[in-house]
Amino acid sequence: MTVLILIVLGILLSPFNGFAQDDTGKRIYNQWCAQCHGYEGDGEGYAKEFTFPKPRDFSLGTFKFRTTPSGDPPTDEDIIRSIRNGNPGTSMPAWKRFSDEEVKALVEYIKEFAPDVFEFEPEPIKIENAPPATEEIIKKGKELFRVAKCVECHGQHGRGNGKKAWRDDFKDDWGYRIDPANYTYPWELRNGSSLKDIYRTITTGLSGTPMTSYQDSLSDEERWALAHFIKSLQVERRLGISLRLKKVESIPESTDDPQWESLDWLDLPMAGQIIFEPRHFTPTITNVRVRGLYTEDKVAIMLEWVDKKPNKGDDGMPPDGIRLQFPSKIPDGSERPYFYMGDRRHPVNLWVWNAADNLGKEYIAKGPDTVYSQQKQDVKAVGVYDDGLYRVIFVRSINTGDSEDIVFETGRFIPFAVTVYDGRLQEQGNKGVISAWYYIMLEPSTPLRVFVLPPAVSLMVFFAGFLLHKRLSRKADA
Amino acid sequence: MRRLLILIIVSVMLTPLPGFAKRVRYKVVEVSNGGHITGVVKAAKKVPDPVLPIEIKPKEDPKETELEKKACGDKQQALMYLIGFNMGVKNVLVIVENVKEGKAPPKKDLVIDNIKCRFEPLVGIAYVKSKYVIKNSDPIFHNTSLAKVLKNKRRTVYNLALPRQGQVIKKPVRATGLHEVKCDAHYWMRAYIFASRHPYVAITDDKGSFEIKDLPPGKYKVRFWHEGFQDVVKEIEVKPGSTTNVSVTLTKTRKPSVLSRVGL
Repeated sequence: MTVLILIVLGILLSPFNGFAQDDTGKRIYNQWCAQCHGYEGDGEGYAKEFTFPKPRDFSLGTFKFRTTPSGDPPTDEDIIRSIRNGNPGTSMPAWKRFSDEEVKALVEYIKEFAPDVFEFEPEPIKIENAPPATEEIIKKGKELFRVAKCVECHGQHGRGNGKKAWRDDFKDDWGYRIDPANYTYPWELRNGSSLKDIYRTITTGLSGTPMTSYQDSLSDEERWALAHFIKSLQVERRLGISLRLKKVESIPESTDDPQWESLDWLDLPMAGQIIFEPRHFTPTITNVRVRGLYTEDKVAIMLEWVDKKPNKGDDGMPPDGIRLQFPSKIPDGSERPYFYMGDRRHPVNLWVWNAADNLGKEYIAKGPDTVYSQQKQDVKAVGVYDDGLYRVIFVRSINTGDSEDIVFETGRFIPFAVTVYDGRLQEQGNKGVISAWYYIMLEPSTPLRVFVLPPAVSLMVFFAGFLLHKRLSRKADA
Repeated sequence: MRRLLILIIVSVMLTPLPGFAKRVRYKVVEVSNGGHITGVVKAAKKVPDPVLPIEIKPKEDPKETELEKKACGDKQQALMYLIGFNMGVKNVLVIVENVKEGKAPPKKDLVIDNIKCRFEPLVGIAYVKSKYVIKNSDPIFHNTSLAKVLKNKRRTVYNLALPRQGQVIKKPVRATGLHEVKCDAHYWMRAYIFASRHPYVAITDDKGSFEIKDLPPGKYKVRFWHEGFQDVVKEIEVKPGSTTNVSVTLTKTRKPSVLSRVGL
């Protein structure tokens, strides 16, 4: 009898028993996910205050990124994709450390936070027969962009600045402010930026947001055309550490001068300033594009960035603005001023522009607490906001003669950094979006002899060889 | 005996869990001796029906702005407080709660039409296993975002684009409970849908009266829901073959979110 009881107990405690549940999913979730997504799956983790977009609240049961029609829960593969690849432009990283079995267990655990949503079997859409990109299909997509009213939220150029979008009640299911996506910056597209990703987003919509599903209202062919057009709006991001400035005859005065388009550029990834108070964890500007050129006596830098809603400082919010920073002197060694506003021993020049007064101002900074305006103002700036895009040109003399001002020597790597402000997010002062140090170099103009000497030398060598050959062959003949 | 007992215990414990998890929320049964509920919902005092101001932002193409203005106008009667001569309130949802079993819900699709920049109907009942039929009768873009109303939050069920006039989209009714319908392109548009597993839900007519038939006898809670009044819940008993009268007077108003959206 005792033996029997022991056997029964043994069976009960064995892993075959339904009650001895595997807790892998929960264990991983609590160790790696709960800090942001909350132990109850409600998005109330420690990191909530420091992230934008906010960590997903699984308990609500709304899932944005799916391959399933509006109304269906995501498939397991959809959740796995978010875990494995992360979501660009958010704090969600790509998780590679878990085994496939562990990820599956994790998915099962996440689904338990909203069990009623997962009662229905999802039917994923088919993503197939992607047509090739042609001028014709992009043109068709552009027309559909208007017909399907994408333009009303995403704007003419897809920068997320559509006029309709700016209502205070544009919120997601979780009650947070939501902006239309900027298609031109692929690195910001949370649901992916490939043609198929865009097609998927148009088809299924992003549940919980105003991004609606076009699965039933546009044909498959139309959705591919639209995806092609949207894909064609993406800009090429050129990352690097330095930008060469070419010498020209004169500086183009307007921001839409075609000369600017012909120049090379450098894209600076931007981040919130979190070293000094007030710290800024939730900025939305992600990129500033830099172009530049110089003449005999002047240097010009054009900065370009997307801001979905312009603020001129007259609506109770600070104006949008941008600041360009150079060291007061080109550093001789590798030691540069502190990258944010310089330091006591290494002052920096600040060139400042804002949308309220639209002119350039010059300051010297020796750290964020020591900033003073310069007596002699040498910087000129002009900015234009057009369809979601700011373009600001700063112009200054190569050498102002002022001992505190940087001299732009040709052929040297000159550090620069940028701070940008979006008034809509109450950005001003230390609450800004900053870059690291990068470099510009004023390309030394090529002297004329570079073009004349080498060809002349090679011609002479050719003739010398020719003569030698002739003489030798004559000798051989003789 | 003891061995048998142990075996029984073991077999019970080894039964897989899902057997318990799959609970039946509503059981369809034959109701032969059911009771009925009728009543009138009245307002304690007249409440003026607000007029919603409408702002059409200019579009890139002025022709489209015109089209939009023609379809939507510049203001809209809210049709929120429809209170008759007898003080009866129209469009109150009367919902019998905690119904475990009863008649099968009707096979009846709910048409939600986008017409003249409104949802028609303003208040509707949808039945699980039937469909939502979402239509656009306007010559402009609408999107229909249907979300379940939760405490302080909403859970999107469907968000469907209807860019073209005459477009019709059918979707199954799955989630139950109160749903709010919005159009992200027109911030003043709203509708309220109650999705139900059972047929014991009604909407009051323009005299404020309603009727719910063939409920299995028993004790129930009846909830009276209206966008502009606080909920009222009544506990009632339904007796076989007889009619229970449940009349209520709505006293406390509330401010629905649409009024904040239009700036009232």
